[in-house]
Amino acid sequence: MIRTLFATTLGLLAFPLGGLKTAQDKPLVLQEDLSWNNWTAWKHFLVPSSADRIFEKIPWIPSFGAGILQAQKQGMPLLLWVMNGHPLGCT
Amino acid sequence: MADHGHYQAAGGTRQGIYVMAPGGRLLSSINALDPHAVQKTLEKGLAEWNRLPGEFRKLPAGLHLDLGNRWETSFPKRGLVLVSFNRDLPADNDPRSPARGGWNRDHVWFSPSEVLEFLPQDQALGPGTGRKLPRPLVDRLVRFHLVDNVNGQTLPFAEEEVQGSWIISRVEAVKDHFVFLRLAGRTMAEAKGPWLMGRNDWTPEKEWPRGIKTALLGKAVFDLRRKAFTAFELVAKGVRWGRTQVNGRRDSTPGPIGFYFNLAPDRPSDRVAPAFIDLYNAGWVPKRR
Repeated sequence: MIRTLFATTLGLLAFPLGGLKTAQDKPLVLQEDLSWNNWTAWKHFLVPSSADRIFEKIPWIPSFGAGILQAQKQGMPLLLWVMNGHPLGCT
Repeated sequence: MADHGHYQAAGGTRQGIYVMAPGGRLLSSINALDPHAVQKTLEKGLAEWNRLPGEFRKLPAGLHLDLGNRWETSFPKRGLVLVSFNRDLPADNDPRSPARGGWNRDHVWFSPSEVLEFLPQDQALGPGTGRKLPRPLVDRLVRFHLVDNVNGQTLPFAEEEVQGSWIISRVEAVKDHFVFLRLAGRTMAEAKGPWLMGRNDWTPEKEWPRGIKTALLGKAVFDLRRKAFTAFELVAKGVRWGRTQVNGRRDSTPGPIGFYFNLAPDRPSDRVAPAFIDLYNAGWVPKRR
């Protein structure tokens, strides 16, 4: 049964979205399936570039308290980044 | 400390960048997207640090800093930790399109026992064997991670708002102690309006009808000896509609959206809990922090 389900899955991955319309009142329809033929291309589109992710090179510490303790230990000031959407994944 | 910063008053948001001494003295702060302005703030903070007498640099002697009980305490060490990247897809549906807007990221957590649920349960592992993932695992992705936070903070979906969603995991090959899997599925979540998840930090002040529908394809490699994934990639492609208060959508016009999930690196910064951890459908994460 899994084999059958999987075999039909790719055919089902294109779904018309006729009920949804764009601002120009045109139906929003996916032009093509998500398939293994275009999977890598979409992956590369989705993954941010190295330049976009350069902030990850900073050795961020994931908690304020741990940062204070490390700054104290190293005798350095602390850079604190506070917001929703900050680099560590809190959106 | 923050009350003396760029907002100059107590209350309200504290978003921004602060340079401070471990002892609590504010050295400089700003809330800006301009890298040059931020750089000047950092330089100012460093200059203030160099002028700061030593006794003001450190925590008071004898003060014990209790780091408290954080969500990160539940980090699933031998589970599956993914990083997700979410962004809008091009209107022409061409992945080669150079037009790429903003993106956002999050982490996904699965416990060690949940990891085993990705494999066939009642049959010997072999090519063609597989299973539908249990509803709770699918729900975790649909409710908390296949959400429109590309441009800003958004809301999760309630369990009742998940419709007709499924993910199949199928064994492609077994080589030594490695199992090669393919994943495929469809998801749909729609919130008609009323908030269904009770009173919590996310409870909105008004109704935000919205939805997301996706198709997913992925591949993964599972190490039977370590009982862990050594590779995991999942692409979700679909459409979103509606909006929430601060997710940066001007109106409810539908648009294409995509998600990519991958194994998170082993860095301290990748131990940050998922955005909606306080609502996670995971009994192994204690709710009160």
